[in-house]
Amino acid sequence: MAASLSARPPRGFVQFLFNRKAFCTSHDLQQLSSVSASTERSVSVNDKGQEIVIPRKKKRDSLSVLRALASTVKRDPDSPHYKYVDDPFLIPTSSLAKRSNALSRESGRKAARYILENYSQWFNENPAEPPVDDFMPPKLAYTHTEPTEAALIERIEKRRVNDAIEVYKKAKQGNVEFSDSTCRQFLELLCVYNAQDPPVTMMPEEFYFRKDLGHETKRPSKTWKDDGMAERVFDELQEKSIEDQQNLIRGMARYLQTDKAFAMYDEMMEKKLPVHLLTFNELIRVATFHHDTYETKWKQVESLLMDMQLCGVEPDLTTFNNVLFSLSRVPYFRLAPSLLLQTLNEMKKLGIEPSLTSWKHSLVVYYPNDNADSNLLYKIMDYLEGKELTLQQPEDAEFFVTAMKRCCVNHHDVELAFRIDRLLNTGKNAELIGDSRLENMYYSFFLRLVCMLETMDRIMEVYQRVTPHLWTPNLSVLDELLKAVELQDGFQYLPLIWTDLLLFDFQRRAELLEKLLSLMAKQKQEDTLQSQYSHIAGQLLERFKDEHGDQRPTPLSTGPMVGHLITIAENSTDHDLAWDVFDTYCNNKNAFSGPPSDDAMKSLVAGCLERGDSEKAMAVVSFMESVEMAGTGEAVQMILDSDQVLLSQSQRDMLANI
Amino acid sequence: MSGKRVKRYSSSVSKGTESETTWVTSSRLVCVPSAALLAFRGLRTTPCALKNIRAGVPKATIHRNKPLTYEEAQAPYKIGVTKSWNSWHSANLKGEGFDARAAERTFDDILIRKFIKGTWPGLFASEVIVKRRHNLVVVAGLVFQQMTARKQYFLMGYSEEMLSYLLKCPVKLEIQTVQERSDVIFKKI
Repeated sequence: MAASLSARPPRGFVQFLFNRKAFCTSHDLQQLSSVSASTERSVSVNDKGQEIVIPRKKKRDSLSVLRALASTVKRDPDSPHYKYVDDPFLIPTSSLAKRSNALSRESGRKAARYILENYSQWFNENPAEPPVDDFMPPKLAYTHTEPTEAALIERIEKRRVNDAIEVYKKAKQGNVEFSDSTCRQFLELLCVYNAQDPPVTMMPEEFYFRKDLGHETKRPSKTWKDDGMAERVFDELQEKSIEDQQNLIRGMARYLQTDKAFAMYDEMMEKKLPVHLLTFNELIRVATFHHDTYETKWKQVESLLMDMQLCGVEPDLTTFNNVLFSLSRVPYFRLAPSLLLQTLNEMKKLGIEPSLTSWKHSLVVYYPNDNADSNLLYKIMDYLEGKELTLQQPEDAEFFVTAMKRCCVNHHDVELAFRIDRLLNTGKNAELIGDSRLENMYYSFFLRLVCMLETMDRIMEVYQRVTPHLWTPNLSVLDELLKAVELQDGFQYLPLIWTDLLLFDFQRRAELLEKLLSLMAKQKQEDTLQSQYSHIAGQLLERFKDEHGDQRPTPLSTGPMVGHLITIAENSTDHDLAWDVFDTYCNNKNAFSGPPSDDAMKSLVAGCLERGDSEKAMAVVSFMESVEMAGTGEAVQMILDSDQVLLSQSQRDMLANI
Repeated sequence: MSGKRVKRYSSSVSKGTESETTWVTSSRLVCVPSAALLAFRGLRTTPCALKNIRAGVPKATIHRNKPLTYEEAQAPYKIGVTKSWNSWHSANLKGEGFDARAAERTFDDILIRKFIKGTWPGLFASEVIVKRRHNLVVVAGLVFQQMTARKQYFLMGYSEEMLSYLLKCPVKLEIQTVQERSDVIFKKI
């Protein structure tokens, strides 16, 4: 075999190698020549006295390659989000399906984790080298069970606050003494988590949909445990260092025990103790929760800033964002806008780049209500346009929705809306849109504005880009869209909107469907469009026949809808369908609310007369009479005037009675 | 290789002394242990069972009504020609030493297949394909649409997480759906 292998490569292979080498050399030569050419050029430049600047070698970290690769990937609006499987059956389109599918996957993961935690003995086999702890069952049991210092440290490291408190209490009863450093760590733990176990971390999708699941962020209120464990541990410390005091102040400030926090802070300032930037930041954030009036609230912020200057503490982005947050909590304060501008100027002076959070707070201050007018949003957009932004603070996610809301509600400026949307689609900015609720609000404002003010073609361009994968529209947007169709005669888009209603699972919304059908029935369209309409009408009737008698209500549920279907069918000269609709309606009157419209009935009569079918025309008229329609007389006259039907004497008598 | 008589040692029927080994051509059986010998060893065979002696080649039925998927319809020697492998990894390549853990990987594959068959009962329309890329294991296959999409997403999350814990590496499921069994039937024999 080996012999044959060595014999296998024929001359062609050598030729290939040779050619390749030749190619390489020629290629290298080309490169060389180009290099020499450029050197010559640069030398000649050098003669004129200019320096060649050799670029410095760039330092790259272990993630640079991955980042470079990731930068080539963009969100494709025509494909589903990558968390869904790209398969027609598994792609969700309605908002409910999107949510339930994403959450189902997470709940499957949770189920696996539950098994891992409860049957951990089956998962201890570990072939991985090096071992990956994240794939091993969590070690729930402690190594130290006796109330000792080691046990306390173990619980602190695992962030098990309640267990740590228990150990601490037991140790105190047993007269076990802890070292100062351990007590400090314990105090810090208690202050950070307010002496209770930290909330369970949500899975990514759960976090994204948390507001839909009812995990709303609560309104801030005082939750600090007065005279609780933290304060007790603090009192029991023999030597209270500056760090300990600040930890306690930060804890109190974070959980809004502002009275005690500021009292302790004042005490520290009196003793001229150095205060850390983090403490100032926490205090500035809660300063507005401390006092009653706008003036005193702002005075508190101001005095904290003065103290910072006295202590020689350099402010950072968080400091300024907290000042802006305080201002955004008092948007009706007379001085708030000017103070805001001063703060922004100060940031500029110190060379601190404002984050999205800063802009969001600025918008809240400048647009305190829906009627406020200002050009701040334009200026912010001028500044931000084309920039690639990064998430720095959790509140950054609220910028886009706030900006779009103000654009829609206060400015009614569709060009500005497009600018905001362009910013959102720059680079990786789309990740900053926030959770499902914020995203929903953003697109809702955007599309409503576009539907109100744009031309039909442009509306549909935006609509088709955004739906169904980036976002599932809600009822109010679809309502606006139908209004736009009505206003601008965009009847050619109605079949598309109908399929979208099916996709988004809105076909049972009677008011929306009725509006859609009324637009379809409004006038006779050109042939292809009209035949699409009649196809839709046929579909609706089929569905009614299939589903009637089931528990769920059918899409076709009101009399006016039936009227519209009849009109659509008559417009498409599909008289059989019209009659079928009418017949179904007469047989299931209880399933529909309200009668069909007069005009629809008259067009049905006209259709019957055209076919020369006096029986059916009589049936329609007698139905009209039975529900006391205003147009009954006219319909009777139509039959009498018609020369296409021959009426029998009994029929004439009946008409005379009507 | 074609046309030549190749001696191949087959361990499917018996194992052990030289006299009991069977010699098989690429197409038909030359010699099998006598029925008496098999009976003596407690094995019962029928001529019908003996007809099917080649691994992976299904036996044709009288009425030609046994459905086969594309994968099943191709004999094993067509692997790499008209169909591909069900397990993709590099442990069996020449030069990969003991570190490549070829045996352990095969065992892992069995585990993955058993897990998937048990977790998705009767839902997989195809073989379970296991592909390894770096430290990632990709499990691919076709699934019927019997269950709602929501339930399938649940099973996906569950399988991925559970297999990750068992194999100690990230596992991904890559699933496509088919409407009914007839969609995956390639031919009937």
